[in-house]
Amino acid sequence: MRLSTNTIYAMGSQAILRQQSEVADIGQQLASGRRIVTPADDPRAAAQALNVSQAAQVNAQFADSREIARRSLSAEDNELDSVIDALTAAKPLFVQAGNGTLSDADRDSIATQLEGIHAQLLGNANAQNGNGGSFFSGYRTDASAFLFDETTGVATYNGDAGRRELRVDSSRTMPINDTGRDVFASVTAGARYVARAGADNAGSAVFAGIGVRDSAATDYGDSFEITFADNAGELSYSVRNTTTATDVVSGAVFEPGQTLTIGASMSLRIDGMPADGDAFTLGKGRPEDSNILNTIAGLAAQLRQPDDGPAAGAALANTLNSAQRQLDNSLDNVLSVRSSLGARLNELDVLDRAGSNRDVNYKSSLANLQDVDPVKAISDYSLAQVALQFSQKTFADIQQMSLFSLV
Amino acid sequence: MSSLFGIGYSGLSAAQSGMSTASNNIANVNTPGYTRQSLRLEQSAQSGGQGGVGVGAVQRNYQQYLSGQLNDARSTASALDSHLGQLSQINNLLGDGDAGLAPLMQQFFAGLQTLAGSPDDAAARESLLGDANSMAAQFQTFAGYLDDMGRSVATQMEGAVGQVNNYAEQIDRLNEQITLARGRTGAEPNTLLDKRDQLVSELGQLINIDVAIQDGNTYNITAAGQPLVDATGAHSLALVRSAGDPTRRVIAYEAPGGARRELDASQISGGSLGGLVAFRDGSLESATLSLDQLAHDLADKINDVHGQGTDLAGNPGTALFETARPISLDNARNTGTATLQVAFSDDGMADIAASNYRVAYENGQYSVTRVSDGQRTRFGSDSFSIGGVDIAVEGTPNEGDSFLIKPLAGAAAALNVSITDPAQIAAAQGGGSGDNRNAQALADLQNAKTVEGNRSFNSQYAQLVSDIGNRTRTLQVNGEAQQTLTGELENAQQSISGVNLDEERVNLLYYQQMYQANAKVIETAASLFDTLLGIRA
Repeated sequence: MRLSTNTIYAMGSQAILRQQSEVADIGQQLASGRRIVTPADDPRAAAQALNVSQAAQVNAQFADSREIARRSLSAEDNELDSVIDALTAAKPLFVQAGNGTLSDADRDSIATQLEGIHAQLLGNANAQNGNGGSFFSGYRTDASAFLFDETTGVATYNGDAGRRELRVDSSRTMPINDTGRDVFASVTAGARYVARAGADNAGSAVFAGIGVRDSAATDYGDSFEITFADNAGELSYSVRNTTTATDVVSGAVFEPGQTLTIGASMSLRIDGMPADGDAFTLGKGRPEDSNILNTIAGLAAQLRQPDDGPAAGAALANTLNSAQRQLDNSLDNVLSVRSSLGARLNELDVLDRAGSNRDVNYKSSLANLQDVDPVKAISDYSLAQVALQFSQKTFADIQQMSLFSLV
Repeated sequence: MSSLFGIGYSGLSAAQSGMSTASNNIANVNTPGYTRQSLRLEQSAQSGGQGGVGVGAVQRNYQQYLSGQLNDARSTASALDSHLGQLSQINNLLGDGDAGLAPLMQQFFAGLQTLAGSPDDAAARESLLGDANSMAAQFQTFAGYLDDMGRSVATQMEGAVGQVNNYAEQIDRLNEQITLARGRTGAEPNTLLDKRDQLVSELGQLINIDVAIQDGNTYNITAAGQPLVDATGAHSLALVRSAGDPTRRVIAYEAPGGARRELDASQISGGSLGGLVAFRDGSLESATLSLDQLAHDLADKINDVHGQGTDLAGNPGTALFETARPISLDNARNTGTATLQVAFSDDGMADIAASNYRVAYENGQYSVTRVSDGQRTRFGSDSFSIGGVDIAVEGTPNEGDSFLIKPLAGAAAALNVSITDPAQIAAAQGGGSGDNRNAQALADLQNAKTVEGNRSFNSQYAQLVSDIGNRTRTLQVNGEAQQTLTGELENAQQSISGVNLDEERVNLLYYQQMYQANAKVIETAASLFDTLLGIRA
């Protein structure tokens, strides 16, 4: 074909331009380390890279959430340790208080120590996090978890049942707090029965043995009330299942030291002589029975009462009996909360490991999608360079060839 | 003897013409549109004897068919090139990771997750508002960028339309001059012909044209189905506001008498104008709608969940974001009194597509066309819902009246954070300040399939990115192929019409020798003449 001079030049310069842009293109890839500089370089991979980098970012976000969860749970764990220490310290005092040879002054001294422990526990219960939010008040972090009434000595839970669920992994949300009710005013499902004497009991009756007759019976776990009545000099007792609101025993004859049959599941021995209208309750986990703050405060208050007769002696004995059970139940409960906490902390560690593995995978996917393969790129670069040099040399040669310079 | 002088002189002057033709070719080797000329020599006829050589004509080496093909190829290449030139700007913007939306959306959701961890932390609330504002600002910036591109394209279209008109007038003038020159001298006005062919080629790079040659003389040019240059003269195009969508400027044809008729965008397929139209009505529109859809769905879904929560004061959450509402535009040519009231349906979010809707009143019914895919639905009553939008007709339409509904117009540009007080962030669901349930519900939206019920916000953005990437890639590949084709046609055209300097050097030498040889003839004649004179003396 006849070639015009323009065509010869155009072909030469086009070849050079094409090769130059190839060299520049691979050069840019090598300099940036990225195979995809703009979406057009590989639209599918560019979109995929966005999805992978979001997944990676979300993964990192969950790692941050786990850190928040870990901080919250660890801080709670510290409080619980301190609560367990306090309860453990209270235990020998409870035992000591039952010693019948103590003087009023001795009991005052124990009461003082118990009041100290109570104050510490109240401090734990109303602990605050770094933001000044209350630890144990559920969602109501701006309120104190427990309100303590100085005159009655009763601490009432002031929070709600809110447990902050935080997403700590794509398919796992985890509670990162426990409420004050969970910690200080609950018992575990396996808690033992607690008996209590009525506050106004006037007789010398003291409950002694709480027996389980049949833990498989349907009324096991129910609460019961035992009331005494004096029918013309003859003392009778009635038992009511307060959970189901049914009378189990009514008006049976009572003998001191008798072991009463309480429903199908329980029995209770009563020593001493109840007065007309005296009552005992037997139950597992009513909040008002389970509040360890009130148990300790109640025992301390009882210890401050002078021992001035059989009724006072019975009241102290009954309070102590109840309190010891409650203390054991509460300690079990706090230990169980702490073990659930530990399980959650462990799970966070496991999730962290899974998260880091995923992170590695995401990074390698991203690298595969976006990053330059240096070996291939360098070899392509050399090839493009050679091609460019050839084009330049060819063009230089051709443009020197002119009849004008020869003839 | 005198004939010898005459013959010699004719050769001398033919050689001069030859050298002048070669020189002219050499001089114009780089002139765009120049067609190689060659000298046609013919024997001079003289009664009964030899009459020397005559210069027949200086011919253009021009092939109409090849040039036509080349012009078409250049027109297509120019369209691809101008489309790619515009689209590359968006493609490069998306390639810049810092300018992308994805990191800022992720930042916003990370802020929500942090808030879920510490709903009572004032700093977490404050920083979430900061994240929301950064994200909204990035949507606005992105939308502003696309909007600027739309305006810049309109300006470029205006410039190109002006050039088209200018070329049409010049070609019309050249038509006249060429006819005149041919009539006057009988010789080919090569320079004028080159000039006209060059203008046709340049016009073709602005808009797709058809050239018809009338009487072997006059070029009749049609663009987008309308006569641009014909026997009656040049006709012009104009950029006008579309009757159906006053926010858009479209190319119109000025019919004789001055009436302007909007051209269908599909008719303008070639040249840089075709490329600009394809970019604006295709790629830019699609990117804008996709971005608006993302902004709208994000704002709507977040507001929805935010409204289900309560703020620090225990009040129900108000809208966290504000964005645009759907709009309806009346066609300027409507003759009825109807206007459309449009609003988002309460529960129609999953139906909101990245498309506008054209509503036409035909035969007592409303025919609604989804612009993105042409899907058509008919409604008989004055209030109906389509694509997540409730439409109520007020007033009375006349047959043929039409309306354009833009559900998502300006959503990204209008995306704003509506609350300024961090305490108004509704992280709770009725509990106290430590209640994080709604914050977690908001954070969980990050991976929810919210957009059209089948993709997450990030997937929607990824789809936008991949759509732009694919379009750019396709244009790059098609552009390269078209360049190759154009190059081949250029070579073929140049093989006929282009100047080869070596060839001209040979011609020059050839005519130089011819000149010298004919000078020798004259010298011989003169010497013969001298001899004769010498005899007499």
